[in-house]
Amino acid sequence: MTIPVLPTLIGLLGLFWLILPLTACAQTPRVNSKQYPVFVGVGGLILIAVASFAWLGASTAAHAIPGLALGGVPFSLRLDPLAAWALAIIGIVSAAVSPYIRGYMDHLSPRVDMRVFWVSLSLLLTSMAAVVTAANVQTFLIAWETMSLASFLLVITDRGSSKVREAGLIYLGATRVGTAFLATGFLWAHSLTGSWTFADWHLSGTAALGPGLLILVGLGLKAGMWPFHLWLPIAHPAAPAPVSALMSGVMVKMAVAVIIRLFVVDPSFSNVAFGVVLLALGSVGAVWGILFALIQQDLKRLLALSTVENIGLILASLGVCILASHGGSALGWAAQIALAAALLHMLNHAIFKSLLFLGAGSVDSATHTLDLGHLGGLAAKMPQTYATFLIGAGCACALPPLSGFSSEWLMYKAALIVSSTQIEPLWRFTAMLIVIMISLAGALAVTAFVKAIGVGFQGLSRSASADHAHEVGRGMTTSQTILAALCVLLGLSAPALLVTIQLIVHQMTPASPPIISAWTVSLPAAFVVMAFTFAAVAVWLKSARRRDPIKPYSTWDCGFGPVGPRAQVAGVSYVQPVARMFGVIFRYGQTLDLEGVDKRLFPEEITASVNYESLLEDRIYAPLIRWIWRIGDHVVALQEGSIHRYLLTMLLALAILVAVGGYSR
Amino acid sequence: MTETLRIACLAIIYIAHIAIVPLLLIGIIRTAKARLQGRQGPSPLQPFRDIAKLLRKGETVSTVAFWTFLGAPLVTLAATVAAALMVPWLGIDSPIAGDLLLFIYLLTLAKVVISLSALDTASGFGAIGASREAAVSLFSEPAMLAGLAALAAHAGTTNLNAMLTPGTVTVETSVVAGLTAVGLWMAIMADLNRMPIDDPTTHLELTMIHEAQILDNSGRNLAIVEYTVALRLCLFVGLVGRVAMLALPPVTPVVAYLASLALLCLGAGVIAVSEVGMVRLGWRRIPNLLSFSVAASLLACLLVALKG
Amino acid sequence: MVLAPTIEAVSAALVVLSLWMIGISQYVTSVRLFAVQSITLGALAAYIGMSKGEPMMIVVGIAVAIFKGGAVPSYLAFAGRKIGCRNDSSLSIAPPLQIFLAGSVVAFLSLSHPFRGELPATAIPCLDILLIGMLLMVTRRLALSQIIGFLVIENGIFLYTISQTYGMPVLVELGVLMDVLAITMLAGLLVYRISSTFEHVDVTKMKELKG
Repeated sequence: MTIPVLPTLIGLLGLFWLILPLTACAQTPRVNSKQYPVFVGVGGLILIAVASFAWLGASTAAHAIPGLALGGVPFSLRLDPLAAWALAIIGIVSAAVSPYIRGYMDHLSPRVDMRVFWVSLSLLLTSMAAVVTAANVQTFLIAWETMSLASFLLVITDRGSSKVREAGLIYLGATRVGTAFLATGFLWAHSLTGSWTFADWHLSGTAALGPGLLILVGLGLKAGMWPFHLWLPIAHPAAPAPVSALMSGVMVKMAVAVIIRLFVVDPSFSNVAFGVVLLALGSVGAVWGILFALIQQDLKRLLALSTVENIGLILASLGVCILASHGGSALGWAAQIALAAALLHMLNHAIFKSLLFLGAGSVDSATHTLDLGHLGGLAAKMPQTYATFLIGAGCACALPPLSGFSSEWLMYKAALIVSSTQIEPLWRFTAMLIVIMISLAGALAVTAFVKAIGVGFQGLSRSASADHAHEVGRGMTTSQTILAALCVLLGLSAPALLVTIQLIVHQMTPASPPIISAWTVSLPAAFVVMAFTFAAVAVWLKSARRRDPIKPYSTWDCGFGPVGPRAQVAGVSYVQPVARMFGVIFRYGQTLDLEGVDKRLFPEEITASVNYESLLEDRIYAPLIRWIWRIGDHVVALQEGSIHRYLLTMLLALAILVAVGGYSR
Repeated sequence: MTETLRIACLAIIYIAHIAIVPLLLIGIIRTAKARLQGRQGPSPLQPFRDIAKLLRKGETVSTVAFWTFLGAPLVTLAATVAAALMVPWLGIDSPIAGDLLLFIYLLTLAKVVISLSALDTASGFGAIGASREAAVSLFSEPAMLAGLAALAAHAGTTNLNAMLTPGTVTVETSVVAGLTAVGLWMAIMADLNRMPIDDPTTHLELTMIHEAQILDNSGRNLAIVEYTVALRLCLFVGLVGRVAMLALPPVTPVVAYLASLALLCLGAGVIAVSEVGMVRLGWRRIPNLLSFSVAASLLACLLVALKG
Repeated sequence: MVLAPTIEAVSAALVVLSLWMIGISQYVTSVRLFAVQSITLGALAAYIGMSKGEPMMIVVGIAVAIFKGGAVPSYLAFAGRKIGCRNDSSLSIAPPLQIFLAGSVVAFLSLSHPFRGELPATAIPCLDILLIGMLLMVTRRLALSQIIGFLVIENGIFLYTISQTYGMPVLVELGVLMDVLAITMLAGLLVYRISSTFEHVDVTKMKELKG
């Protein structure tokens, strides 16, 4: 008798991620339990197994879950290669993060309700898996809502602080708006096609435009697409580090995976306009996100905004893919490469961003601050966290031979192929501009991450709490080490990953050479040369240093005596030249206050500060929200408790419905 | 078999040149500069003696510095050597089929680790240098990539060997090559922190960019960094030379090799002249200069899009 | 070389020169660049005349090179010295960023070619130069730089006439040239008077009448 492997695995997954954590409800709220991280980890491993089994027997057929239905529509799931890829991302990150959770929650567990935490975490993980496998609207929306609410509960884990509550509220608002867009778009698409199943939708031309754009906005809000990314830099610093890692590393990718499903691979909505929109918003978002990341003082805010950059790159790549797939057979290959770049970057970013968030979490739990102005000197005190953070930052800067490089290389490659094809000059030039955009975003990312490392980890401690920091516990460093190892490993195994991705890409336009043949970069040769040179010189240096040891001395101080931590660069001043160049976007300004009797020549006290504002938040969203409040003040009159008004409202609603129903008939 | 042999020969040629040419080029720049200023100046071989001296000397390392500081020179050297084996800067094919993006990113890696090592010593000067370096590379990197992207789009490949092999020469190819060479030249001068962006001979901590970052390096550590910078300069000048040669009809490998060496010397001469005859730009005006470089590269892109 | 590609290449070079001019803030450099542009234009006209066998075109070309490439720039340089203007810090946008502004105009015109069917592709560089000249006039502060902008516009028009119709009647051409010379002289004189009355030649500050 053959064992039905896939259902067994999915059942096991349900056990570890849904049923066992429910036992948390029976616990006392303040216990930081040992077994739940194991459930998360095992669940992650099972999910990887599910993904790989699904890979072997990949099919695009949907499976209805017997007995479960909503409004006559059965719940149905579909495990195609794209879903398997997304499941693998969830599985890898959750398995790698699981050893971290207990150590991190130690400093939070005295004041938070751990029961809520565990139940929400398991719901988040399960619902993410359901979001990418959902085959119809009902299943999708229920999974999506569960994902949003579970992540909201996780964001406000530490709800004692008012800042966290405010962040949670903003995040909740963002998810509500997103769902409103999604639901409207889905209803519209249903009215056009008469089906609730995604696979039945084949809208193209102007019919696709309306519902497609609504759905794109709804998904983009969750994915962190510019200009809807505002919740990211607010929610992530508030959430506990493992939650930030899962949200920024995995959850936003699930929205991207759904975008790929609905707009790119076998598209439900097919229109060149989506390519233009994704390309434009993605490009702006990539540069915008990393520019704002650059000037942040809070390490987690910096990382959250860097997520906006990476999502921007992925979406721009998808935009290239859609545009190229509409551009005829000459560009079919470029479209496939762009899609492969996006998929690979989803995986790479999931891993290095969760690594970086975990690193930030370790810093937080060791020093109780994330303000770069109070950090520094952690390299020697937290060597493992430092080394892994360094690798993660290298990935984020796409430095070879780490993993970020391979996916950014493919993005460049797709754009360069488009630019060298004989098509309209406008598109060729646009493709070259994309190359420049990616490289500008890359250069900015380098600056941002050198700042994060140089100011956050290196040099001397800028505060007593950083000075007394110790390396975090074994579980936490294990997680970081696993993820860092994956960063290196995935960088070197890019060709293997491309072969895997071929299965997804194949669904688009099958008649093209395999994408692996685009991988012409001699990364292994470069790596060998580098390793050899490094080793040879290192061996020589070692022997030379044995003969003639290094003399320790102070840092060069112009002969004025030892340099204190105050003489180091601050995060603000490190990025000042760059920030001033882009001052128009930030409305960047500096103020310098000199105090003293003869303050020009002999200032006694100098206060320097920089100020900037975000165009988007202060000029667009704030007025918009104020306007909504004003309208709300009037609308609230309906809710004053007058029964007659309630009845009137109901009467009006009924009348409108009758009128609309009659008219549409 | 012959292919393996060819690659082996190329590798030997390249490695021999990597060992000798960079320092010689620095020597030539210094000698030429001294002559232009009416001084006798050191012999062109002086950089070799300097490096040998530094290699023999002991190292002093700040007590604040961590392994990043000690490892950075090695990584920067390794990345630059790998890049040097990937770019046909000698006029003949490079032994490793180089990719233009890998080349740019390897050199970014080489730069990033130096910035990190500067920050590792907690030195304010090093940090100012790193901060300025970041600001300059914000323009120089996109400018470099834009120029090379124009060539890649023109040639239809990202393989540097194929990209930089001259084909049939038309007016458009010449103009594209010329514009790219001009844009690249400005970008590499910024990247290498040479005039008019930065004066490599100044030793006032507050104004330097590159030198400020390696202020705390000494002895062997400094020797490696100095050599790497020379190699980087050599690579870039050779690359611009190859780009300029695209404007001319193809020649035999031997002539191309000799022409490349001549162009390297010419580049050194131009650097010497600009360092004698120019004053350093004010820091705030550097973006202005570099936007010319970006504009030239973008024009090359536009031309390729229209005609290529 | 054949005529058409040469005209195209030289027109492209002239556009690049105009872009360069818009990125420069030193007054003297932009005068020099203008001189280079005019001489190139004159040479192009003479070359067209030679290959078309029209001696009068050669005369016009030489006249343009002498007057617009020699006399006008040296007069402008002289006027600049007299008034003492060196650097033209332009309005709000820094000159190098204006390259990108002007460059995107050039890119838009050549990539999307909005006048397809009405204008031949070779007319686009002339339009580029014309628009860049206008941009120069709009963005510069000093009255003298605005004269340069005006002259650049004139160069664009001249390029159009020689590249499209291979020259207007020589009398018209020379008449226009003389007009330009006279206008420049007059404008220079006026600017000099302005400078002695206002103590500056900053156009943005000239909002009230003064005698």
